[in-house]
Amino acid sequence: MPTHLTRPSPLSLTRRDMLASAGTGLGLLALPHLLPAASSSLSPRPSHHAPRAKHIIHIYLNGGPSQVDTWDPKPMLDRHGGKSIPTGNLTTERETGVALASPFRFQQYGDSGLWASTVFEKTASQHADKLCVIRSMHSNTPNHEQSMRLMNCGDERLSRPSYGSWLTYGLGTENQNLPGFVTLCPGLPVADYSNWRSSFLPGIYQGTYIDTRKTDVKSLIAHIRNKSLDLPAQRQQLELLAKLNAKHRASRRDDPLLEARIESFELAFRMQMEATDALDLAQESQATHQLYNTDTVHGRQLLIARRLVERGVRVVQCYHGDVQPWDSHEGIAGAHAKLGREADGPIAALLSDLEQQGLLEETLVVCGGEFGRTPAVEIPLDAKRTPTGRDHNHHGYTVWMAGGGTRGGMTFGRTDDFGYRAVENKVHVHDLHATMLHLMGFDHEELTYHHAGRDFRLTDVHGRVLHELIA
Amino acid sequence: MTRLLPLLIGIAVGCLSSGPLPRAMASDHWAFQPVQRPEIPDGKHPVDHLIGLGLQQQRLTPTPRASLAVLVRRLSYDLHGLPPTDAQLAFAAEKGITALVDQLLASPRYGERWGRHWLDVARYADTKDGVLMYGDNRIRPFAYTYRDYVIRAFNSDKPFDRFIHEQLAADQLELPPGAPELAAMGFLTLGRMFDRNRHDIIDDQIDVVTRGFLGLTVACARCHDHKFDPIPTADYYSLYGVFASSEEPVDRPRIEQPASAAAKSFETAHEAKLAEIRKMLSDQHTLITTTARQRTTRYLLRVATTKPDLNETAIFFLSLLPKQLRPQIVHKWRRYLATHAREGHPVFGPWHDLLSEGQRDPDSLLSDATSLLEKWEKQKVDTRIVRAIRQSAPRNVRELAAIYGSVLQAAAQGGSADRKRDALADVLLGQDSPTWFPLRQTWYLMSRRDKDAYRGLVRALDILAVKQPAAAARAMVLRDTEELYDPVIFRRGDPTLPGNRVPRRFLEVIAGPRPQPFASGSGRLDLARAITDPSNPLTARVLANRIWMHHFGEPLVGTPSDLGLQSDTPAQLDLLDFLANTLVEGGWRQKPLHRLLLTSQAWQRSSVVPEKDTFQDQLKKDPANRYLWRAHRRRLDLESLRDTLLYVSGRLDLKMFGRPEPITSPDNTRRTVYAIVERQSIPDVVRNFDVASPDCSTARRQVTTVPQQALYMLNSPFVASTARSLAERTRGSSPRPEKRVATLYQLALRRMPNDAETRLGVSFAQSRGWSEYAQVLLMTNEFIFVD
Repeated sequence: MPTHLTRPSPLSLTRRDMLASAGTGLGLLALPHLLPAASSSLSPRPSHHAPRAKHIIHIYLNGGPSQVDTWDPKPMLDRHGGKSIPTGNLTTERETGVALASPFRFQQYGDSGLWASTVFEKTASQHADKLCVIRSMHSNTPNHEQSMRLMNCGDERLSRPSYGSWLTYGLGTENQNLPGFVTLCPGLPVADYSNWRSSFLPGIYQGTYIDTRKTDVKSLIAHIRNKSLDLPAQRQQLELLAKLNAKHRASRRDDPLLEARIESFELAFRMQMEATDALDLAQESQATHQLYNTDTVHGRQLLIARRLVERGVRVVQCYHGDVQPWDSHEGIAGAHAKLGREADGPIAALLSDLEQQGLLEETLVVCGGEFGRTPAVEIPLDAKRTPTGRDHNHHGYTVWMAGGGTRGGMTFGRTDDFGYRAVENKVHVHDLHATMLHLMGFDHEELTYHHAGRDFRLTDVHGRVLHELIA
Repeated sequence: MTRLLPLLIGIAVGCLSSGPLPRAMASDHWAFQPVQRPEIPDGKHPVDHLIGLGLQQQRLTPTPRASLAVLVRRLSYDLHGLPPTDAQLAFAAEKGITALVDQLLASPRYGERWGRHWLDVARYADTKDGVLMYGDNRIRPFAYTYRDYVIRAFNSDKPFDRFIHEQLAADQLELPPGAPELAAMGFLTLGRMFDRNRHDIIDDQIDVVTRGFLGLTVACARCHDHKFDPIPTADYYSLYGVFASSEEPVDRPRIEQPASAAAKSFETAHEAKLAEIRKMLSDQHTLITTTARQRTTRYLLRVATTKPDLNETAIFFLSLLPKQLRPQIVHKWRRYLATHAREGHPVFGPWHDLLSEGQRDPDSLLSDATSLLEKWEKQKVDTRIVRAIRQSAPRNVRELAAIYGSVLQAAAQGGSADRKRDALADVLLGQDSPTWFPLRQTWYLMSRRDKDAYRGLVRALDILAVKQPAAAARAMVLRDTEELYDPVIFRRGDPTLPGNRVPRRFLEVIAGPRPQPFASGSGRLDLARAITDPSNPLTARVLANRIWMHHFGEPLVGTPSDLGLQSDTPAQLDLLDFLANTLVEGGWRQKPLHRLLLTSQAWQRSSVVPEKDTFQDQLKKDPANRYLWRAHRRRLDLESLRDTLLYVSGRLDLKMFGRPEPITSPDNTRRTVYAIVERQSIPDVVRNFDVASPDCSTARRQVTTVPQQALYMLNSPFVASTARSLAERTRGSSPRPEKRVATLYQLALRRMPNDAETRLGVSFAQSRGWSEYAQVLLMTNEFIFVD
């Protein structure tokens, strides 16, 4: 058995251990690539194969957008509106009733003739041929918190690292001056911090959460600026520090951790500038502000996301809002129209902007919720209220991807005639994860971490790479 | 570059791809062998003798003894997690390091440091996890009683076997009511909540017990036999049975007398809330069982006309309306009919005959009435069933279900006198009935609104305690359930696929084949005793290895919570065994072992490698210091770092025990071990400084170096205020800046500066300010590393 398997984790290897084992036949000739300068746990690392995407922007429509009102038109549903669905209702969290016809008009867009409703009219009309729409997503349970964790961490209840943590663990950060994995949300989504946790991976791989309700750049990341000392004053401190540390280190040259910590202060100093710089939208042109509509938090978030990936951040998640805004149990016609108005413009802007900046090729954009909604109307808990919304539906829903090596202008998979259940080319969340890791250069079966007696991976024992979706 | 990946990323998932190892190999595994007793020549320090053997063999020369100042600092951080005081330095200079070891071991600071190591293993947190766990809702108001119990246990050097017994089964040790040791069971009750999924909660308990005490990864055997270790699923489910036969009561026992008026009025409010909870639970239990009986026809029809639905067995939250059938009861009816609806069954024989494959013709169930009725009479099918079928002549399954429904309900309502002998009444009233479930499962079957209301009540009970700091402490205990659970193996870990029965018993790899079933109750106490049985070689080795690791910086066995087949034989197995033996023979007390290790030359060696060629060559030969020819340099963990910052600024509050406060609160100047341990919204400082995640048991923390740690030192208000206070403390020391620099060095680094350092300091402080200068000293490697 290879000896490294018995180590508590690859990360506990110090540079010293590695140098030493290089001499004992493990063949670590390329070591300097692995640990440049100092053994920072965030140093860039190679992936398994050449990646198609270097970054992910996940536009998370938390709450569960309705597939039959957005990307998955169902004429049969309209035909049966108000009557029971002949194939029966599936079990979801709540009692459901008759078929609820979509209140939204659908039409085809682009050369590919991609279908979309008025909810995402701008995105569809401008970018239909870039989108790869998976209509056959499915997951395990119709509850938000479990499905959120499944979508983010590959398990519903157990403490597992989020895919962003896995990727940061696997790749390190491209830009040492910024965190590798950033989560943006105005408020907190359901299951909050567990969505971007690092679990048994080291804490530094956890997503850095930024509450985008705040607009002051310096308050967005903890300890990013000193409240009373300016940068020149800190520079002087660091110079004295360097002298004292150099003297301390003179008799302790064999210890790489001393060197790593010295280096970390220089990185931190640069991060102060670069992180605030990345979040400072004032540097963008008027036209860009208009394009994204940065008066809204949704526009602001996506523009920040672009600025972050531009600077090398690996994974940026943008949640639509606090708790679960897309959760339209009631009045879905009005609610989804409003949510669409919030999300659609900025998404269209992001895709245009990424393309213009030449970033779309290397940035995988993923957009969807933790599940979809029922084609049947939900029966309200309060019997006096009129049924006007849809319940959660994990049996079938839509997620789309764009850029990052995916094929544009295509739909993949199919739900049944009413849009209840995925029936053709079904895609489980594990398959989506396997595909995302693949595009980022990883074999999902090999990106593992030894913990509590065995190797763990994002997709557990599941997952299939959807090569059909890759250009 | 790709050839590097296996090392960095790990290779293919062993757990998933390789087959189980042959038993022969397992039985040879070092850790499963009895603990040996190596010979130590008279007059030799056992540790140095055993390490000396390895050094000689490898031809390695140990580094010289570290200076007294270095040793005192090392010792103080080791035992207390704090820098040495002036008094300690003077004491050591006068009486020597051994005397200081004894003094520090006797101090309450020791339990705060070493208790924290154990809290990592126990995955301790003060908070809940899950949906909407913010603010007061997130606090487990009495979690701290476990933390305090642990600190006291270490300070009193409670024998480790007793420590284990109390943590697993304090309720069964015949302690007096209200004994503070009841808090020990926080070990089992303070884990994650897993959205109330019982299987996952138990899995977490199995994991923390087996990795925590035994160094075995039994949780790997949840879905299949362990892929590396000789741990079959039968072992996993026998332990599952132990914890499934235990429950956490809502009414936690009080372990402190309510003294103040506020505490007494809390008790009244608490009791009233408990009464509300009990009443609602009992009302709901009655409502749901009664309703389920009344709906027998609907349940039977559902089972007969639908396929099993995911929601009957999967575990998630359903928002049920009162009128809806309970999926769990549908599932129980399915299983009930699967075993009872068979040819000749006295109640469900006709159900079987009429609905089994080939018979099913929805419109003419009873096409062959006469012969069937005669057959049932001959088979002694209950006459009430036969009579009802004859009278109503059901044409379809709906009518048949209605017949069964009304006959079963009538039987359940009448004839209570001889109910015991009435199999028909038992279908709805017996303990095997699909409509029966224990009180504690009621919540899972409630309608959404009742569920919310009940959850609100339980939450309100905790909030009462959160909001009343004077409330007398209560223990977060477990107790045995009224009906014990007899475990079955869940095939592939799936509770809907029950397999063979297993008794509640201990692990085969330690207890031998076919271990005796646990005799008393849930078996928690039997389990605790099996873990501490002297014939079990694992527990003492695990403990000895961890104690060694915390003193020396590196463990003897590299995987301190996994001594299974994936662990290499340690280079110093004889040493490990000597220490394990010493522990057991010394009555499982830890302080004598600390003393033994700390007085060894091995522990007292210098960490600095001399420039001489011999030592520089040794760096190449044994860079990881496997043979312990020098000491390992350590970096302060978050607790030691924060406590030291508070200490040097003169603000450290040494008040012990009690309720925690947020680590980020500027007013919180207590030792870090008393800060709230968050589970969900983990403060940046905590996750950036490698604190163990309380999601699962951790024996050894990661050490990472990232710029976020430097940002904290550069920019956090906490470090800034520390630097200000430190500078302030030295203001009056002398009008001469050289003196002030010296005082700062004394306070922050516990030594005098040399001339060059003084000149640098004076010039910097005079141009940039004394606080800014003090902060630089706090940021140095010298401050955070311990030689």
